Amino acid sequence: MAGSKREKRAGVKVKKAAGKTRSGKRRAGRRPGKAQAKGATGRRAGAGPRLAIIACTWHPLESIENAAREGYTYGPDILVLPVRCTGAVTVANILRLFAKGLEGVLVLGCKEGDCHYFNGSERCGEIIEETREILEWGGIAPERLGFTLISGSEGRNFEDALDAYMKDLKKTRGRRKRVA
Amino acid sequence: MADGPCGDERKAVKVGVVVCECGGEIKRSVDLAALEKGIAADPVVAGVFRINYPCSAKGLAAVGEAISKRGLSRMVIAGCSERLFGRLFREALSGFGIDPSFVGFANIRDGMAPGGAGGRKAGTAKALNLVRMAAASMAEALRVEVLEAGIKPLCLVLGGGVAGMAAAGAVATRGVKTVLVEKEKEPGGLLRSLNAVFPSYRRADEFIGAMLDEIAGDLVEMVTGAEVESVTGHVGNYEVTLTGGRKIEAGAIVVATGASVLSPDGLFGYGDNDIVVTQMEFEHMLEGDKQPGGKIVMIQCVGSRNPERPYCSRICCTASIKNTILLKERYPSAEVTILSRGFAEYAGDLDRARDMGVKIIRYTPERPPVVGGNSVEVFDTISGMETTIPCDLVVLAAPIVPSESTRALAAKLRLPTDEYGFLIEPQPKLRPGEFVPRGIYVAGSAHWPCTITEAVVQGYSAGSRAFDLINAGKVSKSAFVAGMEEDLCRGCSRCCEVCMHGAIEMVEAEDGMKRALHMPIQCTGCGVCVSVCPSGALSLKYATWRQVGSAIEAIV
Ligand SMILES: Cc1cc2nc3c(=O)[nH]c(=O)nc-3n(C[C@H](O)[C@H](O)[C@H](O)COP(=O)(O)OP(=O)(O)OC[C@H]3O[C@@H](n4cnc5c(N)ncnc54)[C@H](O)[C@@H]3O)c2cc1C
Repeated sequence: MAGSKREKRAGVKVKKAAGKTRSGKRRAGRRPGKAQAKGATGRRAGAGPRLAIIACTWHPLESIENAAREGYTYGPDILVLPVRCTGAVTVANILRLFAKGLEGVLVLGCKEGDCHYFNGSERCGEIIEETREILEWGGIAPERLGFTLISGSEGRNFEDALDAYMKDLKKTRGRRKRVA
Repeated sequence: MADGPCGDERKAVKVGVVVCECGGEIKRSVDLAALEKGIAADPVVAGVFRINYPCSAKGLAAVGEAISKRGLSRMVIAGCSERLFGRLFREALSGFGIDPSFVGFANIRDGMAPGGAGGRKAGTAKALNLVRMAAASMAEALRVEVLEAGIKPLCLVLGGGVAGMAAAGAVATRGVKTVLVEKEKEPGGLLRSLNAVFPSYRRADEFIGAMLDEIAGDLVEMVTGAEVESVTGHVGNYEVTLTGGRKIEAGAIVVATGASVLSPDGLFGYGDNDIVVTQMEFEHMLEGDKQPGGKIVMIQCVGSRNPERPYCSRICCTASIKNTILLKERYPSAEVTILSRGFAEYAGDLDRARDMGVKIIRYTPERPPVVGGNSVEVFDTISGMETTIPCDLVVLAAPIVPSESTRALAAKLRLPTDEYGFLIEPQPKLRPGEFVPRGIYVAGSAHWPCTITEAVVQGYSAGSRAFDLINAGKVSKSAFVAGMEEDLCRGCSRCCEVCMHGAIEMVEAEDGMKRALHMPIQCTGCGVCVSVCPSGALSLKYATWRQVGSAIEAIV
């Protein structure tokens, strides 16, 4: 709703989707290594998919670090690349990461209205669209480029974003074989 | 701007890596000996040191020793998060002659794989990649200089409403010259059209008079009947041209140009039906000698909290209740019914109005009231019944909407506006009212509908922050910003359009072409301009194309 940004400004708490524990306890099913266990490509023994997470240093990176502090670990082949603002992410750099043989790139920015530079994540959304088109031309499933906006730096936000992205990524696997 | 260090700077590049043990924390998921070996094999790296707790005094001394022994000029700290220890390391290492822009970080502690043989092997590979990337990026890093700009000792306040007057007062009482520019012939803003104001029930003109007393004196110069024609410059040094040609050099600007009130044409018969007026018109009627009406119905949320304007205008409940009380005090026999969709928490004297016998009926937007020639029909959601209220006057509470004049000013100052057209600062929650790093502050209803108290408080706040800036005498900051290679600019102006911080201006070059002019002192380094630049003229000085590219290439 268009008023939501203002609601937040006015300090009205926006109710989060129900999550049972957020008291520092680890949630069942979020045990270390879950993501890696699920997505073995077999390309590198014992490792999960090779991914890069480009994370804005504000909400997303804080969320990633908080998740780690709460004991959440993710695939050992996932590299986190901090950027000051996702507005600086370029088509060229995303393509370079794919050219390095990574299976996926997940870009994490701040939610609209939370961007510290006002329009960074909005601008990044445009870049992602452009890049996905290019990926598609190249026969790479565009879903392999993930883009999620995170609001708030609770670790859980990152966990949810990564879980959702992993699911999307898994779906592309069959397709990828056909194209490549 | 050279992309990457060159000349002597390039020769002096010697990247050292400190691997932190973090008291055994890191070796749980990383084989430190293997990691060290891997890092040492990286041709970019001149030396690698394993230190337990480099963040401690003892550890830092060990880092310093390593730096001087190997003649290192750039360092990568592989350990925990830059957020936690970035500042500590940058400050400490500058004591060993390492420029803060040459300290990089690789977080090999957080979110690493759990222990166990397989996990550790993968964890080591990941840590190696992170360190290789940070080292590759540091090898290409440019020295980030410190930028400075002087500040003109004058504050420009735009808008002579209560917010603007409060801001001017806040600056001037601290001894800084202020120019207050008001578009109309007289200051006061919306208050000039009001009767008495909540919560004091003081007459509005008395209130304006008190505010004017506050800014009386030599330090505030009031310019009326003028507006901003054009603006150039940046924080600390704006050159503002007013209509009429006067030029003002200002160090900081407060925007307090207010808002308008919606004219509810066509709503509830406004414009056609003679008995329908707005609260604003009702304020005037209350001033007259004649009783405005015997039976009055007020309708709230007219043209607001609907799909087109979903926001609450915040002052209409207060205004309607205030006007009801003023009316009932003078004409106790008057009957007032307020049709509301629920009162705002800050609705003012609701209880007092109730005690005075005001009737309140709750309606829903699905079944809005219908105004007839001498009555209003409404579905009362509490009783669940349709009621007809006879009346001789219907007063509509129309919302505060962004004004055209504020919108035009926003375009001239290149200030962001929200989806409705109110000014919105880049960080509403962290730095309310501030356009960082621009030296521009916003107060009052130009920003969002507000009460007089709020407008005054925001004005004081904006004014004192503008004073702080001017009083500092200069702005300086480390240039973790974008850089521009003018020769490559094709003048497409995309960067200027997307920059929300007014750091890019299009100026005419000697050849008559328009080129982008980048003003680093105002740049936040977000990089939005970099991502739109089609010719590569713009890049981030602290994360150049080359740095990012070689970091990506370093992944194995
Ligand atoms: C019917 C009604 C009743 C109200 N009753 C109450 C009440 O009882 N209590 C209460 O607390 N609040 C009340 N309010 C709200 C109150 O009017 C506002 O809070 C207040 O006016 C906000 O002050 P401001 O200085 O931000 O803006 P404004 O009062 O709108 O002042 C802005 C000034 O800027 C000038 N300006 C505009 N553009 C430019 C430009 N480009 N250059 C130079 N100058 C420019 C305008 O001419 C104006 O003088 C009421 C509002 C309405 C509509």
